[in-house]
Amino acid sequence: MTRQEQQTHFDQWLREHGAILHHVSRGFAGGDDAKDLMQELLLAMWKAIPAFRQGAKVSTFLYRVAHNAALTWERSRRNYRRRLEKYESMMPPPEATDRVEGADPERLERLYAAIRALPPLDRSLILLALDGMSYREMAEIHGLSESNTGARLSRLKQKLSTTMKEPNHELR
Amino acid sequence: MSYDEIENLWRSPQNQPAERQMEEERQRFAARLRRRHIGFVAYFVFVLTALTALTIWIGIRWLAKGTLGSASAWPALFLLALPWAAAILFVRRYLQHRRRHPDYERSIATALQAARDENRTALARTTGILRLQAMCVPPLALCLWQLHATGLARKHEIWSMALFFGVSLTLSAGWTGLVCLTQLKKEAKRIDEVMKCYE
Repeated sequence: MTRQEQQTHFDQWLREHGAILHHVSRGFAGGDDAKDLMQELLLAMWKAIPAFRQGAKVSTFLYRVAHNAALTWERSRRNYRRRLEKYESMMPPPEATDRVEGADPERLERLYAAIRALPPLDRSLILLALDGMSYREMAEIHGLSESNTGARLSRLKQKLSTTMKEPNHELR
Repeated sequence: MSYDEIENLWRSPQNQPAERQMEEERQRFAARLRRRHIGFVAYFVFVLTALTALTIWIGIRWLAKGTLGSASAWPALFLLALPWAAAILFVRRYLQHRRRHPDYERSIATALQAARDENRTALARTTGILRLQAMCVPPLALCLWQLHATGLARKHEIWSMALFFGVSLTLSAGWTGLVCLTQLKKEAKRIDEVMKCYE
């Protein structure tokens, strides 16, 4: 695969499946760490592109790559963050049009905080479930049995609902 | 909040990345990739240029003096061969790494197991490099003795060289031990923690 082809795939996948990476980065890291993780996920996607087999489902492939990278990601890379901040200071400030009217960012942040408080595998499973993956697909991605995945998710959904009911749920 | 409400919140437009945000991430990544590439090429060009220049200079001196092939030349030849061997190994490993793509058809559990195995191999390789560095000391001492015995270097020059090589080897071994081993051990701990979730 040439570098040009790799770049074309990268741009197309990011345009069409950027939400997958966005959800994974926020589900595994909060605050500035999410930006670090997003860059790690992009690097993992870039490196994985030559391994993609034509005919396979891009979204399933990307879920596998992104969750794999997020599960083994190392937090707190101070030098890299310094460079990131330097780069951000050169970017223009965000426009007001980026904000969605009538949305509830605080509740969403609470949801992400509750997800981040879960153990790594549970975190990954609930993110896949919320993105609409079937038990079979999730079991395949993680190498678990379908029954095990189903049992874990029932317990997780219950746990997440209970956490979100608590008014003073502590944000991480 | 019921799970249905959570799902509705998840599907809300607020949870979709803004186009502008993704474009910024893409630009940031492109800048990072460019930096990595430039850094690698600059390092590579510097090392190869320095080695080539040194080799040519030594070659010209040997040819001019007609000492190539004599007993006095082999210690320097040995010392010169070491960085070249390291450079060739480095390039080979880099090319092998580029050709080898992880199998993303495997499950994450299997990929984690493979990553753990790879980490163990890297740990063993690093320990091997440390042993090799230690094994370099006797031949290096022999080379210096040979230089002195053949009259190519005086006593104070030998001491300077011994000090230089000693400090270089100690620094190199220290760096390998500190950075590589601690990083690899940290990575192993991280993988083990995630793998425990699958048990």
